[in-house]
Amino acid sequence: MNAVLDVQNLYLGVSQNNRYSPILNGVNLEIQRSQIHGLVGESGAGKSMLAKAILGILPNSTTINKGYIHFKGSDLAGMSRYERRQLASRHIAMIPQDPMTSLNPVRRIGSQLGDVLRLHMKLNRILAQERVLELLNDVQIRDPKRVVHQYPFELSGGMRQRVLIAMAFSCKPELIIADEPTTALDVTVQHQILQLIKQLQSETGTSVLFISHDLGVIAKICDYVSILHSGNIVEMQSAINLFQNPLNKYTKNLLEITSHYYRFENAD
Amino acid sequence: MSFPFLLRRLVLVIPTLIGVSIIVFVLLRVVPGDPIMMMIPPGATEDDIDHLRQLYGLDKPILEQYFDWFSEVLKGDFGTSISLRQDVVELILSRLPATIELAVAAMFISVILGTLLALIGTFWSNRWPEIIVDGFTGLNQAIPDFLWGLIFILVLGVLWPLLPVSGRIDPRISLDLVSQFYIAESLIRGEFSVFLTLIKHMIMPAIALALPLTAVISRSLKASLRETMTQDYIRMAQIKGFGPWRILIVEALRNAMIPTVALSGVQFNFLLGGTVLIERIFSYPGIGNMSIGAVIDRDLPLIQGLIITFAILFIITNLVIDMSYRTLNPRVRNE
Repeated sequence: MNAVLDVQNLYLGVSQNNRYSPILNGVNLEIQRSQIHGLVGESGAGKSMLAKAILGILPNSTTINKGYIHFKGSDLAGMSRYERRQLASRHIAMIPQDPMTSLNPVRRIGSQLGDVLRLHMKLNRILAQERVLELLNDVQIRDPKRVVHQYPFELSGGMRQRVLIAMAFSCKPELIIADEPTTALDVTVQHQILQLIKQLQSETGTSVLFISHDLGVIAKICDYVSILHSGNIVEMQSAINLFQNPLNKYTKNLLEITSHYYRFENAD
Repeated sequence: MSFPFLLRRLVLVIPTLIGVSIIVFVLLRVVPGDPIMMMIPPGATEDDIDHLRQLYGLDKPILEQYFDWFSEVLKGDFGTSISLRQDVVELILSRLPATIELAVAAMFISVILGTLLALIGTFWSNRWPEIIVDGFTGLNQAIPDFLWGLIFILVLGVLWPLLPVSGRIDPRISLDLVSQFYIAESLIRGEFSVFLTLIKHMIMPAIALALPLTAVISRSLKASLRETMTQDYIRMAQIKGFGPWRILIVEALRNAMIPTVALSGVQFNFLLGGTVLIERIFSYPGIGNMSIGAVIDRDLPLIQGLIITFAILFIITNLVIDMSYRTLNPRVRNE
């Protein structure tokens, strides 16, 4: 078993006003080491809930009823809040959907990046700041020495997403969850950000769960793809196979609808 | 802090003060009540009254009176108090430090207490601590400061006499302090027994003044904390692995404080106004207490001087609030 993340038969739902509505109905998902695993689904299919369950930030009204989420052999669903916090960022990190709102507006970039390193890597202030400069350099931010003293509002959306990518990779986690990391960006920047994620991923060997509803983006970056449809994984196979001969009827429809607008380019 | 900003604000102070002085001067002479009638002994003749009126220049037209007064003010002379027969500037300067110490103490208490309550209410939201915080806040919004003053005197001064109910210091203590800032000076000189007496005298009026402001701060801060806690960067901080208290204080508090700081500036001005009644209730020798005496005696020069003093205090408060607002919010800092 080489799986970093192994979700088995996961049932999850929201209880509100004594009414229970299921969201995930027996999801199975396996992510191998150093794999970029795409998770595709329409709005409301349960992508974000699955991501939240893995990150341990489910809202209080939501409960896991059955199944397990194994991360390197230990069950995430059964962990205490404190144990979860030890895993956060150090082992499971996240690249968020909206870079404009995901950085604290009143804290400088340098301290927002540095505090994770000080928390998990036990670096002192000076070492953390040196490492922050390296990280910003790794995500191709020009003039990192200036950027560490800047506030988020002084950076563009693309720059902020680079900062958040640097944050996600900073503690060398085994798994990064990228929750539609390019939807809030314009097309030219999207491409650069995808390239950057792919490059950093291949350098570090981190596994990535890449969530998107955009098959074009998935085709560009993923090795393996799972299709989530109304709370179930309806298909899971390698990206090349999926795009060439989809097995499930829903996947076929999805590909047909969107085929005019993406080009398969997984070669690089 | 950018220097041009400060300069611009300081230049604006001048027309504000001139405006205040004109309004006060005219209003005091238009409303009924005659300072001369308050000071004459029984059986004074019309001649005596006219003579006094001439002496204080009250027989001239208002405009001429204003310019006479204003030209002296520019030289730093606010005239002589009619009822106390002393220099107005000296009188005010001898009482002002007491009021500043009281107001600052009240502000300090309300900021600390209000912030703590808001943090507790947010951390344990929808549980019993939040209900207690909300109840306490509601009570404090409903009860005005002077009523708290009377309640404190009744409970802690009379029924269960723990604290002195009047004055600023025990009259039996001989003070050899050079400034009127008794609390600050006794602390700096290390005279702790004097300091303790001063605190004992201040604690009831300061808390009475602080409670309504505490309610405003905790209510506003809790509302903006609640909103801040739903932001994406708070969720990112959870994903980064930080504990709930650290997220509340480091990530959320500073963002949530921005609107509260703006609001508490306005509220601090109410607090300064509140000193007038509270100082009266506790016989505390500050300018608030002096104001009531001056109004009763129709002591025009003293009232004018006191109101200008209050106006300057308001302006300074607003300037400090604006500056701290800029420090907190990086987006307006570099304008």
